[in-house]
Amino acid sequence: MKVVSLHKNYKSLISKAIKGDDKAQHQMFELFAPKMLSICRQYVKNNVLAEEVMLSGFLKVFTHLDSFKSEGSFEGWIRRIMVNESISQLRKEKKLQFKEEEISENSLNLVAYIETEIEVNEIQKMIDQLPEGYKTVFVLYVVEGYKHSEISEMLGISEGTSKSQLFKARKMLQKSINKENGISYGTH
Amino acid sequence: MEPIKFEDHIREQLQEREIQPSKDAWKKLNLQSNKSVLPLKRKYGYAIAASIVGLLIVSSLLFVNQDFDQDKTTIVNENKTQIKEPKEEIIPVSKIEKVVVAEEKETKTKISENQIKDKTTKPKIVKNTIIATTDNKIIASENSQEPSIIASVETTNKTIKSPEELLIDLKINEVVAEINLLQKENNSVTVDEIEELLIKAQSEIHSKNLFVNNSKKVDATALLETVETELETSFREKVFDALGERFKKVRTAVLERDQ
Repeated sequence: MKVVSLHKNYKSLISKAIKGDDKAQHQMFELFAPKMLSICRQYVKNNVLAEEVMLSGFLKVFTHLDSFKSEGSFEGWIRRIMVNESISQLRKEKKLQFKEEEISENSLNLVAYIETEIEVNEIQKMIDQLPEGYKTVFVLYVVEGYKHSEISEMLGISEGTSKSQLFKARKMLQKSINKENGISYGTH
Repeated sequence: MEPIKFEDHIREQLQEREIQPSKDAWKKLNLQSNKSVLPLKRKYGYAIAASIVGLLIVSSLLFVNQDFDQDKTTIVNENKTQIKEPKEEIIPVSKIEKVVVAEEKETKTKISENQIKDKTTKPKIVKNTIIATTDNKIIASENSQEPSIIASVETTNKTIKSPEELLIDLKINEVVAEINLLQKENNSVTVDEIEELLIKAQSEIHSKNLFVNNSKKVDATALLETVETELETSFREKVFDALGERFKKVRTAVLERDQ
C-alpha cells in the first residue's frame, strides 16, 4: 500500500513538474538529489564535480520529463540519466580508456570476502584509486547491476573488454582491502 | 561472525548512501535552466505565442495593404472621373458666364455688373470659398462682413451645376435667342418653327449625352432616347418659361400637339 501511494505521489509530482511548476520541480530535486549525487560521485572523483554532473543530469530530467513512461520505476529512470551523464563527463575529460586484455573465464568467478564491514567513505576511497576504465565497469556491474552486454553498449567496448576491466578492478580492490582488513578468497 | 561478500557489501553501502548537495545547488540549477532548458515548456509557449502574434501582424499588414491598394484604385477612378467631367463639358466657360449673366438678368437678381467684376478681380476668394464648402449658409456666416463677396459666391454657387444641366441651360438660351431673332426679323414666329428649333436643340443635347464620361462608349439608353426623338416636356416648359408671356399661345399649341 505504501509503495502504491508513493507511486501516485510521483505521478502528480511528475505531471506538475512537466507543466513547469517550480515547486514541484524543487520538491523532486530535494527528493532525489542526495541519492543521485551519490551515484555521480561513484564515477567522478570529487563532490564538486559530481554535483555539476548531477545538476546537468537534473536539467535533462526536467527537459525530458514528458518522455518518461510510467511503466518503469521513476527513480530507476533518473538513475539511468545520472549514470549516462557521468559517463559523458568522463568521456569529455578523455579519461575513459580501455585496453583489450585476455582473461581466463575462471578468474571471473573469483569472490572476495571480508571479515568486518567497511565504511562507505573507505569504499569510495578504494574505488577512487581505480583507473577510470576499471572503476566505471566495476560500478556499472557490481553496484548498478548492468550485464556485460549492456556495459559494452553503454561504453562502446566489447564484452570481453568489459569483463577484463571488471577482473582488473576486482584484483586491485582486493589488494587494497587486503592491506587494511583480513580478506579471504573463494569461488561462486 | 560470517564472512561478508565484499561486492555485496560495497553495493549495499553505496546504494544506501546519500550525499547532500550544496545549499545553492537548486539556485545553480535554476540559473542553468534559465540559460538553457528548465522552463523549456514556457519558452516553447512564448515562442509559439510570439510566432502567432507575428503571423497575425504580417497577415493584418497584408490585409491592410490590400485595402490600401483597393482604396488607391478607387481614388484613381474618382480622379479620372473628376478629370473627365470638365472635359465633357468642353468648358464653354465664356458660354457659362453668358448663361450666368443671362440667368441673372432673367431672374432679376440684385447682383450688379460691378459685383460680377468683383468676382473676377477677386478670384482667389471665390475659389477658396467654393473649395471649402458648397453650403451657402456656411459661406454666408463665414463672410457675413463682406456682402459683395457673398454675392459673388452665391452667383458662383449657382453656376455649379452638372454638365447636363449646363448644356440644357445653354440650349434653352440658344433657342430663346433664335426665337427672339426670328420674331424680330419676321414679326411673328410659327408653331412649326418653334417645334423645329426645340427638336434640333433636344437632339443636340441627346447626341452630347451619348458619350458617357468622355469614354467614347455609346450609351445604349441614350441612343434609344434619341431614336424616340421625343422632346421632354420639362425642356419645352423651360424654354417657354424663358420666352415669357409673349409665347403663351404658342406654348399651349405645342403642348397640345405633343399630347
